[in-house]
Amino acid sequence: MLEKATDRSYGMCVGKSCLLLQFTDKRFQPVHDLTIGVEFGARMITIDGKQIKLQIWDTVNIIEMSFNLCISYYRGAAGALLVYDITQRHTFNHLTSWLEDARQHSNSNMVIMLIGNKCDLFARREVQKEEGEAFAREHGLIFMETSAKTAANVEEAFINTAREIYGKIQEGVFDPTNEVNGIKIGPQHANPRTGERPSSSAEKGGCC
Amino acid sequence: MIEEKILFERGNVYIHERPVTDSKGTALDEIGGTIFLVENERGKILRFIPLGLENTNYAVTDEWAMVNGHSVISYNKNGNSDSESLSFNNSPLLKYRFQFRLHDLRNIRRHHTLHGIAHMIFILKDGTTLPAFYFHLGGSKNLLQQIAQYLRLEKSIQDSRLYIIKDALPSEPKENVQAASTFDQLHLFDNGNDSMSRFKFGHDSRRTTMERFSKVTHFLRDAFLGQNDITSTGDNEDGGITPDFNSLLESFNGSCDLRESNNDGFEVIYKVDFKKLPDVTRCAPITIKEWQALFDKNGKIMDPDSVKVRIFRGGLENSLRKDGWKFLLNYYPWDSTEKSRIDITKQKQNEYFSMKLQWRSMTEQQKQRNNLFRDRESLIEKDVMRTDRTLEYFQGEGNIHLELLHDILMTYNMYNFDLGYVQGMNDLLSPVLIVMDNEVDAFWCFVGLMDRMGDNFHMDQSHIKRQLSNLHTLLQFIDAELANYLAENNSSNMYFFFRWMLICFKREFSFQDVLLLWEVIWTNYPCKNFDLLVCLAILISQKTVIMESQFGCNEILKHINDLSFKVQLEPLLRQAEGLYILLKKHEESTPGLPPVISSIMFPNMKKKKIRNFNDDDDDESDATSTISSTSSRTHSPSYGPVRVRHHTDSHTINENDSAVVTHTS
Repeated sequence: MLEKATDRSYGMCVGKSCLLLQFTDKRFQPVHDLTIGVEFGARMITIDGKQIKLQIWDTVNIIEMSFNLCISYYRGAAGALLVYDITQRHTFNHLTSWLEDARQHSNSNMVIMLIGNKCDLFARREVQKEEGEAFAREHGLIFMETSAKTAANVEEAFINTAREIYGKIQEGVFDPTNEVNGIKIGPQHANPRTGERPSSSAEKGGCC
Repeated sequence: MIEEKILFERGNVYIHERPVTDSKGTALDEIGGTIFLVENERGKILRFIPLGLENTNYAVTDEWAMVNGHSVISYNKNGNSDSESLSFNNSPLLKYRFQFRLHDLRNIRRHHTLHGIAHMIFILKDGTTLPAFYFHLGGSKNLLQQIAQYLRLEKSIQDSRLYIIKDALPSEPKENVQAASTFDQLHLFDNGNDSMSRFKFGHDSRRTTMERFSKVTHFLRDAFLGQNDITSTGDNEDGGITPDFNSLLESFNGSCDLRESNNDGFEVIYKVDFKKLPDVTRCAPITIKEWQALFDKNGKIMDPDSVKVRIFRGGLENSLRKDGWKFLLNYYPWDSTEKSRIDITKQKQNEYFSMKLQWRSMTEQQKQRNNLFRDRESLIEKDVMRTDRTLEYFQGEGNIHLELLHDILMTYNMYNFDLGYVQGMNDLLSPVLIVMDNEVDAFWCFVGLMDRMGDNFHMDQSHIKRQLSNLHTLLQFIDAELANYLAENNSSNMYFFFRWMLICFKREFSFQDVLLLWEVIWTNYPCKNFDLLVCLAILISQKTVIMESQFGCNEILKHINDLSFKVQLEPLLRQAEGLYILLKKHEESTPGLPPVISSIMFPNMKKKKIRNFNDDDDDESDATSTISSTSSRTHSPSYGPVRVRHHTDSHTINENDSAVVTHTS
C-alpha cells in the first residue's frame, strides 16, 4: 500500500497505522515510522444521536506479543480490529493464532472486526474476499475489506465496530459502569441505566 | 454551521516544540497561533489554531474532535474523502491544531520562565499531554481564571504550579476498579470494595513487601508534604517544557532518617540521607581545537578516560561525531595510532564487502530454500522504506541512502545471523549512517552499537523485560511511593518505557538531542546503566502529575508516550547524574545500598562485596541477571546493609526479586 510497494515486489505491512490515521485524521500518509509499542488515536462519532468518543490503540507488530502484555492490551478494550493485507497471503494465515490470543486475554464479549486492508490493490490480491468472509463467519466476526489509501470502508469499519459495541451496551451485555469493559460514561450526562453518552474504547491490532 | 460563542481569545501564543518545516520548506522552531475558549452545543471547547490555518474551515460543524496521540485535530465531516482533495491536509502545521472539550481536562500546569513568559500545559483525562503553550504577550492567567469559572481548580499541595481539576477526579478512583478485577482473578481476597483493606490483609508476599516499602516511605512522604512552596527551580530560561524536577528535588529534600523501630517487629537499620540532588555541571560540546589537542604526535589519544568523561559532560561538536563515534562504538580502539587506524579501516572495508557479497550473490533458488533469510530480507525491505523518512537525509523517492540502510542491515544479518534483523534496529542504524555518511564506517559502528544493545532484540525479550524490571526495582528504592503507585495500577512492568529503552530514546528526543544523549550513554560513564537513571529522572519528574491525576494503567502509558519530544535533555542529564551521585554515595557509605540495588547499579562492586562477605559464593555470573540469587545471599548475617528485621517468618521477595526487606532471624 505504500507508494513504493507498487513498484517493487514486496509489500508493506498490513496498514494498521494507516487505517487509524485515515479514520482519525482523514489522510493517507504512506510513509511513517513503524510502530513500536503503542500509539493512540481518538475520534468522536455519533451513533443514534449519542456522542461517543472512540479511543483507539494502535498496537504492536508481532514481535512484542511475547512481552506478555497482552493482558494489559486487551483489558479494557470493548472492541478490536483484526487486520490483514489482502495482497499478502501470510498475513491472512496468521489470523488464527492472533485470534486465539485475543480471545484468550480479552473479555469474551469483545467485538472483533476482521479487516482485509489494501483493497485498492486488487490487481495484487492474494486473498479472495470470500475467504475473508468465510473466516469471519466461522469465527463469529464482522468482516469488511478496506483501503486506508482511498478511505474505502474505513469509516464504516470503525463505526460499525462502535455500533456493535453500542448495541451490546443497549442489550446489557456490556455494563457501561464497569470500566473493565473499556467503556466510560461521559461526565455530563451520565446515566448508566440507558448507557447514555458512553465512550467506548476500541482496540485494534493485526499482524505484520 | 453550529453557533459558537467565543469566551476567550488570545493571540501570540506559541508552541516551542520540535523544529518543523513548513510547506515552503522553511524551518520553524516555534509555531505561533491563537488560543480560543469557545462554547457551542457540544460544550466548552479549548482550541489552538496555528497562524496560517485561520482560514481553513475549522469545522465548527464537525462532530469529530479528535485527540490523536500527539494532537487534536478537527476536520469537516462533509469533507471529501478523495485523497487528492485533501492535499491541504499535508501542511505540517495541521498537527499543531488542537482542541478538546473542557470537561476532558484533568489538570493544568502553569509555569513562568525567568523572562516572565508563562506557559501552560494541558493534560487530559485519558493521559494526553498537549505541548506547552507559551503566552508571549501574557494572558495565561486570564485564561486560567476563565477556566476556573467553569471548572473547580485546585492548586496541588505538592506542586504550586499544578492545578488539579477537582470535578475531573473520579468519585471512586478507577484504580480500585482495575485493582479489583485483577485481585478477583487471583482469588486472593474476600469480597469488598476497599482497596486499602485488601492491601493490608493481602496474603501475597509482594503485597507484604510493598506494604513495608510504604512504611519506609512514610518518612519520605511526610517530608514531601511538608514542602508546599518550593521555589521554582524547575523553571528555566531555555524555554520548552521543563519536566518538573522540583518534585524530584522535593522528594529528596531534607534529611530523611528512615530509622524505624516499632512493636510490630520491623526495624529499619539503614539510613537514607537523600538531601537534594547534587549540583552537576555540564559543559559545551568538545570543539575541533580541543579534540585535536587530545592526540599525541602519533595520533593516539593520550588519556582515553578523561576524553570519555569530557564527552559525557558535553558531547561532541557535530563535525567531530564522525571521528568520535568510531572510538565510542569500538570501531577504533582507544589506544590506536593514526597509522593503525588506516590499517583497520582497510581491513574492515575488505571484511565488509566480502560479507556483503555473501548475500548479494545468493541465487533465487538458494533463497527459496532459506525461509529465515527470505523473511528477514523482506522485513528489512519493508522497514527501510519507513525509517526516518521525514529527515532530509532519507527523503524522496529512490533515495540512495535508503539503499545504504538496506545493505548495511542485510550485511549485519550475515555478520550476526543468530540475531539477524529485528524491527527497531533500523531506528538505531539511521543516526549512525547519517553521522558516518559512509557505508563501511556506518556498518562497523552499527556493529559496535549492536554489541551494546543487541540483547534488547532477542525474540524472547527477556533482556528488555529485565531492564524494565530493574527500573522498577530502582524506583522502589529511590521513590517507593511512586513505585507502589505504579504497582497498584498494574504498571509495575514499566511497559510504558518499552520503546524508550528498546531503541535507546531514539524516538523520544529531537535528532540532535538523540546524538548527544547517545554519545553520553556510550561513554559508559559514570556507569553502564545510565539509561536507567535517565528513565528514572523522567518518571520521577512526572510523579505529581501521574499520582494527583490518579492516572490508571492506560493513562500512565499514554502520558509517558506523549512526553516524546517534550522533555529537555540537558536538565534531564543533570538530574540523572544527580541520582547517580547519590546512589554512589550510598554504595560507598556504610552499610551501603541494598544488595539488589547495588547489583543493578554497581554489578562489579557487588560481586566483590559478596565475595568478601559470603564464603560460599562462587557464582560469577552477571550480577544484574541474577538478582534473585543475590537477594537470597542477604540472609547471611555477616552482611549487614539495608535490612529490615522481622521476627516472624515472612516472605519478602517480590515478583521482581527486588526485595529490600529481608528476614534474618
